[in-house]
Amino acid sequence: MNDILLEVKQLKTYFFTEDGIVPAVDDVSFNIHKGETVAIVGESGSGKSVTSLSIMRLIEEPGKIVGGEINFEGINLNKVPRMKMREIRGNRIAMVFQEPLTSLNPVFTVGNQLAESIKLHQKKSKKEAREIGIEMLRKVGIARPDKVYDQYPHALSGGMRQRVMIAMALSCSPKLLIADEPTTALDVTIQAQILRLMRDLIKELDTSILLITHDLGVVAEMADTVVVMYGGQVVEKADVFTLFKEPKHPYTKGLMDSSPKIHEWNEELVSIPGTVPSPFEFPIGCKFADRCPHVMNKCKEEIPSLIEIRKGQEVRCWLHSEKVVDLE
Amino acid sequence: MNYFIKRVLEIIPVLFIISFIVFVLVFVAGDPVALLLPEDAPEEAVETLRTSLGLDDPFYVQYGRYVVNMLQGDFGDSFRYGQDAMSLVLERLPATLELAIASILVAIMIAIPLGIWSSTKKNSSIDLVATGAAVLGKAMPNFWLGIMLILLFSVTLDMLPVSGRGSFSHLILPAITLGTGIAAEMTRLIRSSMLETLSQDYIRTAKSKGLRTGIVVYKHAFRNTLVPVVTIIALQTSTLIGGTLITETVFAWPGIGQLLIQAVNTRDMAIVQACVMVIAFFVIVMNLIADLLYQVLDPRIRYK
Amino acid sequence: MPDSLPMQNNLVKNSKWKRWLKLLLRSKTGTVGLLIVLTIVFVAIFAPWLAPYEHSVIDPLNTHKPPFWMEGGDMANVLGTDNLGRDILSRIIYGSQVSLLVGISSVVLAGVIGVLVGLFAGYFGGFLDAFFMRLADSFLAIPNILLALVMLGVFGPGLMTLILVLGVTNWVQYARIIRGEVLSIKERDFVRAAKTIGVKNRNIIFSHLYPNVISSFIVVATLSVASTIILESSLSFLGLGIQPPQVSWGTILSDGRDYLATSWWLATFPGLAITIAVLGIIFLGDWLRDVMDPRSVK
Repeated sequence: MNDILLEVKQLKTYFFTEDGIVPAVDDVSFNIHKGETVAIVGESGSGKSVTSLSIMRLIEEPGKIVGGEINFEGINLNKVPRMKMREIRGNRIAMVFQEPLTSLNPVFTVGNQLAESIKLHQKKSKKEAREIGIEMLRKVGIARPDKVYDQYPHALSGGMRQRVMIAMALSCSPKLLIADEPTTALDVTIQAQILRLMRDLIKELDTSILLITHDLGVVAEMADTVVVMYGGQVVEKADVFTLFKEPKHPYTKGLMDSSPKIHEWNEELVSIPGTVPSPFEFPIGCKFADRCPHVMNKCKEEIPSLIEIRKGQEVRCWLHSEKVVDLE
Repeated sequence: MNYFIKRVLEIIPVLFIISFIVFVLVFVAGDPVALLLPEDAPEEAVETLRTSLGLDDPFYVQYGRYVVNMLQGDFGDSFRYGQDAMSLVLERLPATLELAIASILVAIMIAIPLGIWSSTKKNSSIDLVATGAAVLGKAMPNFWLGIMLILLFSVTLDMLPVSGRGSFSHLILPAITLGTGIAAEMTRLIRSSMLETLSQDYIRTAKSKGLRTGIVVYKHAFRNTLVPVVTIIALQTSTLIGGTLITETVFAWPGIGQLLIQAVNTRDMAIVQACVMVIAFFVIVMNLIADLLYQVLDPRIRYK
Repeated sequence: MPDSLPMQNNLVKNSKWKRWLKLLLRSKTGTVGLLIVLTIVFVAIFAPWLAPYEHSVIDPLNTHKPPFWMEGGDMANVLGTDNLGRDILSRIIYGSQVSLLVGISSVVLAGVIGVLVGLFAGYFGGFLDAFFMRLADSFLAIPNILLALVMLGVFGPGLMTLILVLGVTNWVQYARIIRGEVLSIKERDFVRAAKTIGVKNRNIIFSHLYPNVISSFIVVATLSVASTIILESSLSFLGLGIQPPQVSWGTILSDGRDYLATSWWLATFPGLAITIAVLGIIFLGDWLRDVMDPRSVK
């Protein structure tokens, strides 16, 4: 397996708050291969965004990466000096955020912000950066890119701004693009356009994607591999076909049942009972125990470990670890 | 441009209300004739003077006359100096402006670096010292700080002149006195506005591009903080002018403040009126300038 | 069901106080602020018993005595005496009465004026609102100290005028808070709904105004006691505030200013008293803001 681009190994990111320690990301591992799209799925508070910010080393006080490795192209990002990390950020790994409305600086033109990373990472002059920038805007499907280049962000629509964000992220041809809920804030019709755009560009640039989302529709459309997170832990990991066909973890099943399916529109929508508890109120055992329809006594006492139940599918659930034992 | 005209038009009623307030105060203050004539002046002399000054006219006639004169910059003659009050005030204006500008510069030089610095190192010892100094600066009465500075630098160390205006060294203590007082409030506001900016999504975007912390802070964050900072400076104009009044008294600085306080003490109402109108006008114009500067500094406003 | 409500309220109140105490003790500056304020209130109330001397007793044989730790000073006059032989410590202790009295009563006065204007302007809107807001703008264009100076010049200095003048100059901020709140209440859905079923506007506003505004009101008022104390001392320093034989921190400072070269303690200690008092109030006010403003809760 030499084509692994990013290897996240037992990553632990904790927040040291006044009220106590919050393990926002607790022992998370996954790999991203070259050209692959990996989706992390979960509700808010599952630790999916903190995982992505940890990879970028953009965790702010009081958060801290307390353990694990993030190996990217053979370098452990967790150990790299700050200077070197800045050379990777925006250049080898780029990021697109959820809120296109607030993710662009309102007081600088689109071009100013676009040229910034081109000048920085590709050592181009202002004029060259402008040309590259306008070319990127054209690539992300913006009409009259030379005009938009000199406009301020608020003059653009949400979808346009997200295109600008993508142009900015891809301007240095990164090897990995982290997209944190890239379409959540957009209209449904625009969502599809943006997803298509991302997929096309990635193929062209041979970029891998780490997609952070809560939307299974987006996952089905984009992902090769899916990582389901709950309470800071990976609860299930599988390729996209297996996961949608045979979800094993009760939480994954719950997610599937609670998202609308176009072809079964008359089927009743089921929601997962309860809500994600506050970080201090997770059960001692399995973090999903309180909301799980199949909860057993054991679940409340001991955290199950992530077990590979078949090739390419891993689950963290006592239901399935028992089965594995039975089979053996 | 439309907005500009609207703002300018808004100034007019405000100036009229101020002139009315001042006029009523002076009207209530009563008869200036007693101050003009010797105590044993004959009754007819008092009457003649009252009539010639128009003091027997009804209130609205007097106010009407006052407004007409005011629009020509005429507030009457000072009883004490026997000169046109407005020109006396304008004579003193440069001294006050000199002090005000020097103080603002001192305040900006302290507050901007300190505010930014403490916001980027939130809860560090630097932050604690900066916020502590800001609170202390707010708690210290300005005139007391001035007196303490005189005590230290003029009386004890004999480094700087005690009072008066003239050389640059005369300006140092008054400007520091007034400047630090304003810097205190400014630092606090810059810090909190920087903290808010630093938590914005676009700062995270800037960081994700691999920009240096310096560029993230000074380009992306501070540029966004400029709008509130300009507001703060403009809103401090009122405090600043209020501060000059008392600082000028402490340092015997020959500006409007000194003139005004003398005038209040001697009930020289022509000068008092002229001073109030000039100061109010100045404050209003500064706020207007700040308003217009927004448009330049914040493109979101510019487009509206 | 209705019977259980008052009890529940009581419970909520009780735990609320406990929560506040907890929050207070967690904040060092808040605790320090409260201690300073309580001390000053205590000193002001019990001044006649706490002060070693009457504040205006002259002792011609005992002038310009330095504080006790300096040569020539002793414990009879802990902080020394002034040019007339008056005990500085006693004068500062008595001075706290005026500072607190002026600070609190003029803020209350300003609050009352501001609330009335704000309610009026917000409730009636239209021309009345426009007029009061222009009036507010006008007041903001004149520095507080300037307006106070002119009014004191017209009406003559003294304690009562000072309170009135400072009350009248400070109403704007309260009026703005109340007006803004009234306007936003008028716009809310439940108010519109209530109107359609015939509930009087007035009743709605009064029943919803109180809880929403009270917190920002208390914070602004607390901090404004601090700035009023500074303003009072400034005016007294200029000779337009408190008149002898009454004594305030500003007048002591003003007396001491002429003897800077020989007796530094005259101007230093009253200024220190003002600074500490104002610092305490600011600390308390900032803490109140942190606790009461739900937006600032992290």
